[in-house]
Amino acid sequence: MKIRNPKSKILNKSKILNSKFNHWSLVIGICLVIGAWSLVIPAYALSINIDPSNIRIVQKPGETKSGSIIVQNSSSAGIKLKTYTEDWVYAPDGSKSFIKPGSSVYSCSNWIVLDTATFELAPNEGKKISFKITEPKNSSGGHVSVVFFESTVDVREGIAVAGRIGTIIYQDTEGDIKRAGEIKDLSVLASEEGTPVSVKFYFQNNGNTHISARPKISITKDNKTVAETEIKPINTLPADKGAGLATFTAPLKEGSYKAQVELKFDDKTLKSQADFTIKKTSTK
Amino acid sequence: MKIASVMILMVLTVFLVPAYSLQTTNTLTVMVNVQSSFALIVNSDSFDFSRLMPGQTGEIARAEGIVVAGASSGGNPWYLKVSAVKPLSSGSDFISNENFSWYSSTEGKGESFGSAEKSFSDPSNTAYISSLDEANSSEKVVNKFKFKLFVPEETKPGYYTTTVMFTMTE
Repeated sequence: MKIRNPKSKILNKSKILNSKFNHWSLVIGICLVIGAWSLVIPAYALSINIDPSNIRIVQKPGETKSGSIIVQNSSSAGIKLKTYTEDWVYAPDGSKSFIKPGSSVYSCSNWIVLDTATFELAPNEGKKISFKITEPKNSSGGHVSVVFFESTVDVREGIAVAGRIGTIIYQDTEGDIKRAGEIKDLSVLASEEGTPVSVKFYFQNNGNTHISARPKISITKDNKTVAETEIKPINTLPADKGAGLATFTAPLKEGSYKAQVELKFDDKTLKSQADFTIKKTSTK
Repeated sequence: MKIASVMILMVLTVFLVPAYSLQTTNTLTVMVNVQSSFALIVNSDSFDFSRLMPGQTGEIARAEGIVVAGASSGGNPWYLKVSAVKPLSSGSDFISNENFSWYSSTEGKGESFGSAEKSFSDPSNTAYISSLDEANSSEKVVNKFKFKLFVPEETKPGYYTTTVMFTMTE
Protein backbone atom coordinates (compact mmCIF):
# COMPACT_ATOMS: atom_id res chain seq x y z
CA MET A 1 0.00 0.00 0.00
CA LYS A 2 1.45 3.35 -0.97
CA ILE A 3 0.85 6.30 1.31
CA ARG A 4 1.28 9.70 -0.23
CA ASN A 5 2.38 12.85 1.52
CA PRO A 6 -0.70 15.12 1.64
CA LYS A 7 1.50 18.23 1.26
CA SER A 8 3.25 16.89 -1.78
CA LYS A 9 -0.16 15.94 -3.07
CA ILE A 10 -1.26 19.58 -2.77
CA LEU A 11 1.92 20.71 -4.49
CA ASN A 12 1.49 18.09 -7.14
CA LYS A 13 -2.13 19.14 -7.54
CA SER A 14 -1.13 22.75 -8.12
CA LYS A 15 1.49 21.56 -10.64
CA ILE A 16 -1.13 19.44 -12.31
CA LEU A 17 -3.52 22.39 -12.31
CA ASN A 18 -0.80 24.57 -13.81
CA SER A 19 0.06 22.01 -16.43
CA LYS A 20 -3.65 21.42 -17.03
CA PHE A 21 -4.11 25.16 -17.42
CA ASN A 22 -1.23 25.20 -19.90
CA HIS A 23 -2.71 22.25 -21.76
CA TRP A 24 -6.13 23.85 -21.84
CA SER A 25 -4.77 27.16 -23.04
CA LEU A 26 -2.91 25.24 -25.75
CA VAL A 27 -6.07 23.35 -26.71
CA ILE A 28 -8.15 26.57 -26.71
CA GLY A 29 -5.45 28.28 -28.75
CA ILE A 30 -5.44 25.49 -31.32
CA CYS A 31 -9.24 25.56 -31.44
CA LEU A 32 -9.20 29.33 -32.01
CA VAL A 33 -6.65 28.96 -34.81
CA ILE A 34 -8.66 26.14 -36.42
CA GLY A 35 -11.87 28.16 -35.98
CA ALA A 36 -10.32 31.22 -37.59
CA TRP A 37 -8.84 29.06 -40.37
CA SER A 38 -12.22 27.44 -41.03
CA LEU A 39 -13.71 30.90 -41.52
CA VAL A 40 -11.11 31.57 -44.20
CA ILE A 41 -11.05 28.10 -45.81
CA PRO A 42 -14.54 26.65 -46.28
CA ALA A 43 -14.95 23.05 -45.20
CA TYR A 44 -15.46 20.61 -48.05
CA ALA A 45 -17.03 17.20 -47.77
CA LEU A 46 -15.09 16.05 -50.80
CA SER A 47 -11.96 17.42 -52.40
CA ILE A 48 -10.07 15.05 -54.68
CA ASN A 49 -7.33 15.63 -57.19
CA ILE A 50 -6.20 13.11 -59.78
CA ASP A 51 -3.09 13.05 -61.93
CA PRO A 52 -3.18 12.57 -64.86
CA SER A 53 -6.61 13.46 -66.22
CA ASN A 54 -6.01 11.40 -69.37
CA ILE A 55 -3.69 8.59 -70.44
CA ARG A 56 -2.85 7.44 -73.96
CA ILE A 57 -1.62 3.85 -74.22
CA VAL A 58 -0.08 2.41 -77.37
CA GLN A 59 0.26 -1.37 -77.41
CA LYS A 60 0.37 -4.41 -79.65
CA PRO A 61 -2.47 -6.96 -79.76
CA GLY A 62 -1.91 -9.49 -77.00
CA GLU A 63 0.41 -7.15 -75.10
CA THR A 64 -0.10 -6.03 -71.48
CA LYS A 65 0.88 -2.55 -70.37
CA SER A 66 0.81 -0.91 -66.96
CA GLY A 67 -0.20 2.54 -65.83
CA SER A 68 -0.93 4.47 -62.69
CA ILE A 69 -3.04 7.37 -61.46
CA ILE A 70 -2.30 9.42 -58.35
CA VAL A 71 -5.36 10.23 -56.26
CA GLN A 72 -5.02 12.92 -53.63
CA ASN A 73 -7.48 13.72 -50.85
CA SER A 74 -7.18 17.48 -50.37
CA SER A 75 -9.89 17.77 -47.76
CA SER A 76 -9.52 17.92 -43.99
CA ALA A 77 -11.47 14.69 -43.51
CA GLY A 78 -10.80 11.12 -44.55
CA ILE A 79 -12.68 9.78 -47.58
CA LYS A 80 -13.68 6.37 -48.88
CA LEU A 81 -13.40 5.93 -52.61
CA LYS A 82 -14.33 3.22 -55.04
CA THR A 83 -12.69 2.88 -58.40
CA TYR A 84 -14.04 1.29 -61.55
CA THR A 85 -14.05 1.62 -65.34
CA GLU A 86 -16.86 2.70 -67.64
CA ASP A 87 -17.32 3.19 -71.37
CA TRP A 88 -18.11 6.53 -72.90
CA VAL A 89 -19.35 8.05 -76.13
CA TYR A 90 -19.59 11.67 -77.16
CA ALA A 91 -22.79 13.60 -76.44
CA PRO A 92 -23.93 16.30 -78.89
CA ASP A 93 -22.57 19.05 -76.60
CA GLY A 94 -19.08 17.52 -76.81
CA SER A 95 -19.20 16.09 -73.30
CA LYS A 96 -18.85 12.39 -72.60
CA SER A 97 -21.85 10.20 -71.86
CA PHE A 98 -20.88 7.36 -69.57
CA ILE A 99 -22.25 3.89 -70.16
CA LYS A 100 -21.74 0.37 -68.85
CA PRO A 101 -18.31 -1.18 -69.45
CA GLY A 102 -18.23 -3.25 -72.59
CA SER A 103 -21.31 -1.65 -74.15
CA SER A 104 -19.49 0.53 -76.71
CA VAL A 105 -17.82 -0.86 -79.84
CA TYR A 106 -14.75 1.23 -78.96
CA SER A 107 -14.60 0.01 -75.37
CA CYS A 108 -11.41 -1.12 -73.66
CA SER A 109 -12.96 -1.00 -70.17
CA ASN A 110 -12.97 -4.75 -69.73
CA TRP A 111 -9.31 -4.95 -70.75
CA ILE A 112 -8.33 -2.87 -67.70
CA VAL A 113 -7.60 -4.50 -64.34
CA LEU A 114 -7.28 -2.05 -61.42
CA ASP A 115 -5.17 -3.05 -58.43
CA THR A 116 -7.91 -2.03 -56.02
CA ALA A 117 -11.68 -1.58 -56.05
CA THR A 118 -12.06 0.47 -52.87
CA PHE A 119 -9.66 2.41 -50.70
CA GLU A 120 -9.55 5.08 -48.03
CA LEU A 121 -7.53 8.27 -47.95
CA ALA A 122 -6.70 10.14 -44.76
CA PRO A 123 -6.78 13.97 -44.86
CA ASN A 124 -4.23 15.24 -47.38
CA GLU A 125 -3.14 11.69 -48.21
CA GLY A 126 -2.32 10.60 -51.74
CA LYS A 127 -2.23 7.12 -53.23
CA LYS A 128 -0.99 5.66 -56.50
CA ILE A 129 -3.58 3.41 -58.10
CA SER A 130 -2.01 1.03 -60.61
CA PHE A 131 -3.68 -0.79 -63.46
CA LYS A 132 -2.87 -3.21 -66.23
CA ILE A 133 -4.40 -3.19 -69.68
CA THR A 134 -4.24 -6.19 -71.98
CA GLU A 135 -5.30 -5.79 -75.59
CA PRO A 136 -6.90 -8.95 -77.02
CA LYS A 137 -4.96 -10.63 -79.81
CA ASN A 138 -7.60 -10.13 -82.48
CA SER A 139 -8.28 -6.41 -81.93
CA SER A 140 -7.30 -3.37 -83.98
CA GLY A 141 -7.68 0.41 -84.07
CA GLY A 142 -8.34 2.66 -81.11
CA HIS A 143 -10.41 2.19 -77.96
CA VAL A 144 -11.46 4.29 -74.99
CA SER A 145 -12.50 3.98 -71.37
CA VAL A 146 -12.55 5.99 -68.15
CA VAL A 147 -11.23 5.11 -64.70
CA PHE A 148 -13.51 6.69 -62.13
CA PHE A 149 -12.80 7.52 -58.50
CA GLU A 150 -16.11 7.89 -56.71
CA SER A 151 -16.77 8.99 -53.14
CA THR A 152 -18.85 6.58 -51.11
CA VAL A 153 -21.30 8.27 -48.80
CA ASP A 154 -23.28 6.73 -46.00
CA VAL A 155 -26.27 9.02 -45.65
CA ARG A 156 -29.27 7.44 -43.96
CA GLU A 157 -31.40 10.57 -43.93
CA GLY A 158 -31.88 13.03 -46.75
CA ILE A 159 -30.40 12.93 -50.20
CA ALA A 160 -26.80 11.83 -50.48
CA VAL A 161 -24.36 13.87 -52.55
CA ALA A 162 -21.44 12.03 -54.12
CA GLY A 163 -18.72 13.05 -56.52
CA ARG A 164 -16.66 11.16 -59.05
CA ILE A 165 -13.70 12.27 -61.10
CA GLY A 166 -12.25 10.33 -63.98
CA THR A 167 -9.06 9.71 -65.92
CA ILE A 168 -9.88 9.24 -69.59
CA ILE A 169 -8.09 6.28 -71.21
CA TYR A 170 -7.23 6.36 -74.92
CA GLN A 171 -5.86 3.06 -76.20
CA ASP A 172 -4.24 2.70 -79.63
CA THR A 173 -3.14 -0.48 -81.38
CA GLU A 174 0.49 -0.08 -82.41
CA GLY A 175 0.89 -0.08 -86.18
CA ASP A 176 -2.85 -0.13 -86.82
CA ILE A 177 -3.97 3.44 -86.26
CA LYS A 178 -5.50 5.60 -88.93
CA ARG A 179 -6.19 9.23 -88.12
CA ALA A 180 -8.17 10.77 -90.96
CA GLY A 181 -11.11 13.07 -91.35
CA GLU A 182 -12.74 15.85 -93.32
CA ILE A 183 -14.43 19.18 -92.80
CA LYS A 184 -18.08 19.01 -93.77
CA ASP A 185 -21.05 21.36 -94.19
CA LEU A 186 -19.20 24.64 -93.69
CA SER A 187 -21.78 27.42 -93.54
CA VAL A 188 -21.71 31.10 -92.65
CA LEU A 189 -24.58 32.93 -91.04
CA ALA A 190 -24.13 36.58 -91.86
CA SER A 191 -26.51 39.29 -92.90
CA GLU A 192 -25.69 42.95 -92.68
CA GLU A 193 -23.15 45.36 -91.23
CA GLY A 194 -22.94 45.37 -87.46
CA THR A 195 -24.50 41.97 -86.91
CA PRO A 196 -22.53 38.95 -85.63
CA VAL A 197 -21.12 36.43 -88.10
CA SER A 198 -21.39 32.74 -87.22
CA VAL A 199 -19.24 30.09 -88.88
CA LYS A 200 -20.50 26.55 -88.47
CA PHE A 201 -18.92 23.31 -89.65
CA TYR A 202 -18.53 19.64 -88.80
CA PHE A 203 -15.51 17.42 -88.51
CA GLN A 204 -16.12 13.89 -89.72
CA ASN A 205 -13.79 11.29 -88.19
CA ASN A 206 -12.96 8.83 -90.99
CA GLY A 207 -10.21 7.06 -89.06
CA ASN A 208 -10.24 4.17 -86.63
CA THR A 209 -9.35 5.96 -83.40
CA HIS A 210 -10.11 8.98 -81.25
CA ILE A 211 -9.18 12.36 -82.80
CA SER A 212 -8.88 15.69 -81.05
CA ALA A 213 -8.85 18.33 -83.80
CA ARG A 214 -7.85 21.91 -82.96
CA PRO A 215 -9.81 24.44 -85.03
CA LYS A 216 -8.76 27.93 -86.10
CA ILE A 217 -11.34 30.03 -87.90
CA SER A 218 -10.51 33.21 -89.75
CA ILE A 219 -12.34 35.75 -91.90
CA THR A 220 -10.47 37.29 -94.79
CA LYS A 221 -11.19 40.11 -97.20
CA ASP A 222 -9.04 40.52 -100.30
CA ASN A 223 -6.63 37.89 -98.88
CA LYS A 224 -6.13 39.90 -95.67
CA THR A 225 -7.23 38.45 -92.33
CA VAL A 226 -9.76 40.73 -90.65
CA ALA A 227 -10.77 38.42 -87.79
CA GLU A 228 -9.43 35.18 -86.34
CA THR A 229 -10.28 32.91 -83.44
CA GLU A 230 -9.46 29.54 -81.96
CA ILE A 231 -12.21 27.43 -80.46
CA LYS A 232 -12.28 24.33 -78.27
CA PRO A 233 -10.91 21.11 -79.77
CA ILE A 234 -13.44 18.96 -81.59
CA ASN A 235 -13.19 15.48 -80.12
CA THR A 236 -14.53 12.51 -82.02
CA LEU A 237 -14.54 8.74 -82.01
CA PRO A 238 -14.48 6.80 -85.32
CA ALA A 239 -17.49 7.66 -87.56
CA ASP A 240 -18.46 10.57 -85.25
CA LYS A 241 -19.34 13.98 -86.65
CA GLY A 242 -18.35 16.73 -84.24
CA ALA A 243 -19.69 20.27 -84.59
CA GLY A 244 -17.66 23.46 -84.50
CA LEU A 245 -19.11 26.95 -84.14
CA ALA A 246 -17.33 30.30 -84.03
CA THR A 247 -19.14 33.60 -83.61
CA PHE A 248 -17.50 36.88 -84.53
CA THR A 249 -19.08 39.90 -82.88
CA ALA A 250 -16.73 42.58 -84.19
CA PRO A 251 -18.67 44.49 -86.87
CA LEU A 252 -17.77 43.84 -90.51
CA LYS A 253 -18.29 46.42 -93.21
CA GLU A 254 -20.28 45.81 -96.38
CA GLY A 255 -18.43 43.59 -98.85
CA SER A 256 -17.36 40.10 -99.89
CA TYR A 257 -15.49 37.88 -97.43
CA LYS A 258 -14.14 34.37 -97.03
CA ALA A 259 -14.54 32.23 -93.92
CA GLN A 260 -11.63 29.81 -93.55
CA VAL A 261 -11.54 26.82 -91.24
CA GLU A 262 -8.25 25.14 -90.39
CA LEU A 263 -8.26 21.92 -88.38
CA LYS A 264 -5.06 20.44 -86.99
CA PHE A 265 -4.50 17.00 -85.53
CA ASP A 266 -1.24 15.04 -85.34
CA ASP A 267 0.81 16.33 -88.27
CA LYS A 268 -2.26 16.86 -90.45
CA THR A 269 -3.95 20.14 -91.37
CA LEU A 270 -7.37 20.21 -93.00
CA LYS A 271 -8.64 23.39 -94.66
CA SER A 272 -11.97 24.53 -95.99
CA GLN A 273 -13.42 27.88 -96.94
CA ALA A 274 -16.73 29.51 -97.84
CA ASP A 275 -17.59 32.88 -99.41
CA PHE A 276 -20.11 35.20 -97.84
CA THR A 277 -21.36 38.73 -98.22
CA ILE A 278 -22.14 41.44 -95.72
CA LYS A 279 -24.86 43.76 -96.90
CA LYS A 280 -25.20 47.42 -96.09
CA THR A 281 -27.36 48.13 -93.05
CA SER A 282 -30.94 48.41 -94.23
CA THR A 283 -32.53 51.79 -93.46
CA LYS A 284 -36.25 52.17 -93.05
CA MET B 1 26.54 33.51 -22.98
CA LYS B 2 24.50 35.36 -25.57
CA ILE B 3 27.30 37.86 -26.17
CA ALA B 4 29.71 34.97 -26.72
CA SER B 5 27.37 33.38 -29.27
CA VAL B 6 27.01 36.66 -31.14
CA MET B 7 30.78 37.09 -31.16
CA ILE B 8 31.32 33.58 -32.55
CA LEU B 9 28.68 34.22 -35.23
CA MET B 10 30.36 37.49 -36.20
CA VAL B 11 33.77 35.86 -36.43
CA LEU B 12 32.36 33.06 -38.57
CA THR B 13 30.61 35.57 -40.80
CA VAL B 14 33.79 37.63 -41.25
CA PHE B 15 35.86 34.55 -42.20
CA LEU B 16 33.35 32.50 -44.11
CA VAL B 17 31.70 35.12 -46.32
CA PRO B 18 34.93 36.07 -48.15
CA ALA B 19 35.82 32.38 -48.47
CA TYR B 20 32.57 31.74 -50.32
CA SER B 21 32.86 34.91 -52.35
CA LEU B 22 36.20 33.59 -53.74
CA GLN B 23 34.44 30.72 -55.44
CA THR B 24 33.54 31.46 -58.99
CA THR B 25 30.77 29.25 -60.36
CA ASN B 26 28.79 26.48 -58.79
CA THR B 27 26.12 24.48 -60.54
CA LEU B 28 23.17 23.37 -58.55
CA THR B 29 20.61 21.14 -60.22
CA VAL B 30 17.14 21.66 -58.85
CA MET B 31 14.46 19.17 -59.78
CA VAL B 32 10.82 19.41 -58.92
CA ASN B 33 7.96 17.19 -59.95
CA VAL B 34 4.98 19.48 -60.41
CA GLN B 35 1.74 17.53 -60.31
CA SER B 36 -1.01 18.57 -62.67
CA SER B 37 -4.23 19.70 -61.13
CA PHE B 38 -7.52 18.06 -61.95
CA ALA B 39 -9.75 18.48 -58.96
CA LEU B 40 -13.36 18.14 -57.91
CA ILE B 41 -14.58 19.77 -54.73
CA VAL B 42 -18.06 19.34 -53.24
CA ASN B 43 -19.01 21.15 -50.03
CA SER B 44 -21.57 18.72 -48.62
CA ASP B 45 -22.41 15.04 -48.64
CA SER B 46 -26.17 15.46 -48.21
CA PHE B 47 -29.16 17.79 -48.32
CA ASP B 48 -32.81 17.57 -47.41
CA PHE B 49 -36.20 18.83 -48.51
CA SER B 50 -37.59 18.42 -45.03
CA ARG B 51 -41.21 17.25 -44.79
CA LEU B 52 -43.37 17.50 -47.88
CA MET B 53 -47.03 16.64 -48.42
CA PRO B 54 -48.31 14.98 -51.60
CA GLY B 55 -48.94 17.75 -54.13
CA GLN B 56 -46.29 20.00 -52.58
CA THR B 57 -43.05 21.25 -54.12
CA GLY B 58 -40.00 21.61 -51.94
CA GLU B 59 -36.68 23.26 -52.49
CA ILE B 60 -33.29 22.65 -50.88
CA ALA B 61 -33.26 24.69 -47.70
CA ARG B 62 -29.60 25.68 -47.75
CA ALA B 63 -29.33 29.23 -49.15
CA GLU B 64 -26.12 28.68 -51.11
CA GLY B 65 -27.20 25.24 -52.32
CA ILE B 66 -24.55 22.61 -52.97
CA VAL B 67 -21.26 24.25 -53.95
CA VAL B 68 -19.25 22.30 -56.50
CA ALA B 69 -15.89 23.49 -57.76
CA GLY B 70 -13.66 22.14 -60.50
CA ALA B 71 -10.07 22.99 -61.35
CA SER B 72 -7.69 21.86 -64.05
CA SER B 73 -4.26 22.69 -65.38
CA GLY B 74 -4.24 19.94 -68.01
CA GLY B 75 -5.13 22.18 -70.95
CA ASN B 76 -8.21 20.26 -72.06
CA PRO B 77 -11.70 21.64 -71.37
CA TRP B 78 -13.45 19.83 -68.51
CA TYR B 79 -17.09 18.95 -68.07
CA LEU B 80 -19.22 18.85 -64.94
CA LYS B 81 -22.34 16.69 -65.00
CA VAL B 82 -25.07 16.15 -62.46
CA SER B 83 -27.31 13.10 -62.22
CA ALA B 84 -29.50 11.18 -59.82
CA VAL B 85 -28.22 7.62 -59.64
CA LYS B 86 -31.80 6.29 -59.25
CA PRO B 87 -35.25 7.74 -58.61
CA LEU B 88 -36.04 8.79 -55.02
CA SER B 89 -37.22 5.63 -53.35
CA SER B 90 -38.68 4.40 -50.10
CA GLY B 91 -38.72 0.62 -50.10
CA SER B 92 -40.58 -0.36 -53.25
CA ASP B 93 -42.19 3.07 -53.65
CA PHE B 94 -40.53 5.77 -55.68
CA ILE B 95 -40.89 9.30 -57.00
CA SER B 96 -40.03 9.55 -60.69
CA ASN B 97 -37.01 11.68 -61.69
CA GLU B 98 -39.37 13.85 -63.75
CA ASN B 99 -40.39 15.42 -60.44
CA PHE B 100 -36.83 15.98 -59.25
CA SER B 101 -34.98 18.89 -60.83
CA TRP B 102 -31.87 21.03 -60.53
CA TYR B 103 -30.67 24.44 -61.56
CA SER B 104 -27.36 26.18 -61.05
CA SER B 105 -25.40 29.38 -61.21
CA THR B 106 -21.73 29.74 -62.03
CA GLU B 107 -18.86 32.03 -61.16
CA GLY B 108 -16.92 30.67 -64.13
CA LYS B 109 -16.40 31.97 -67.67
CA GLY B 110 -17.36 28.75 -69.42
CA GLU B 111 -20.76 27.51 -70.60
CA SER B 112 -23.34 26.94 -67.89
CA PHE B 113 -26.43 24.87 -68.65
CA GLY B 114 -28.23 25.29 -65.35
CA SER B 115 -29.83 28.72 -65.66
CA ALA B 116 -33.18 27.06 -66.34
CA GLU B 117 -34.59 24.29 -64.18
CA LYS B 118 -33.80 20.83 -65.56
CA SER B 119 -35.35 17.54 -64.59
CA PHE B 120 -33.13 14.60 -63.64
CA SER B 121 -35.01 12.56 -66.25
CA ASP B 122 -33.40 14.73 -68.96
CA PRO B 123 -30.55 12.64 -70.44
CA SER B 124 -28.57 15.80 -71.21
CA ASN B 125 -27.04 16.31 -67.77
CA THR B 126 -24.10 18.60 -68.50
CA ALA B 127 -24.07 21.44 -66.00
CA TYR B 128 -20.88 23.24 -66.94
CA ILE B 129 -18.19 23.23 -69.65
CA SER B 130 -15.01 25.06 -68.75
CA SER B 131 -13.53 27.75 -70.94
CA LEU B 132 -10.12 27.17 -72.56
CA ASP B 133 -8.54 29.53 -70.02
CA GLU B 134 -10.10 27.65 -67.11
CA ALA B 135 -8.72 24.41 -68.52
CA ASN B 136 -5.22 25.79 -68.22
CA SER B 137 -5.23 27.44 -64.82
CA SER B 138 -5.51 25.62 -61.52
CA GLU B 139 -8.06 28.11 -60.21
CA LYS B 140 -11.28 26.75 -58.80
CA VAL B 141 -14.40 27.40 -60.82
CA VAL B 142 -17.42 27.47 -58.54
CA ASN B 143 -20.90 26.28 -59.52
CA LYS B 144 -23.79 26.42 -57.07
CA PHE B 145 -26.59 23.89 -57.42
CA LYS B 146 -30.14 24.01 -56.12
CA PHE B 147 -32.71 21.25 -56.19
CA LYS B 148 -36.48 21.08 -56.35
CA LEU B 149 -38.82 18.19 -55.72
CA PHE B 150 -42.50 17.87 -56.54
CA VAL B 151 -44.27 15.13 -54.62
CA PRO B 152 -47.07 13.68 -56.81
CA GLU B 153 -50.52 13.38 -55.22
CA GLU B 154 -50.48 9.59 -55.29
CA THR B 155 -47.13 9.30 -53.44
CA LYS B 156 -47.28 6.98 -50.44
CA PRO B 157 -45.89 8.25 -47.13
CA GLY B 158 -42.29 7.28 -46.43
CA TYR B 159 -38.72 8.41 -46.24
CA TYR B 160 -37.51 8.80 -49.84
CA THR B 161 -33.84 8.94 -50.64
CA THR B 162 -31.39 8.84 -53.55
CA THR B 163 -27.86 9.96 -54.43
CA VAL B 164 -27.08 13.02 -56.51
CA MET B 165 -23.82 12.45 -58.36
CA PHE B 166 -21.45 15.14 -59.67
CA THR B 167 -19.13 13.83 -62.39
CA MET B 168 -16.05 15.64 -63.63
CA THR B 169 -13.89 14.55 -66.57
CA GLU B 170 -12.12 16.10 -69.52
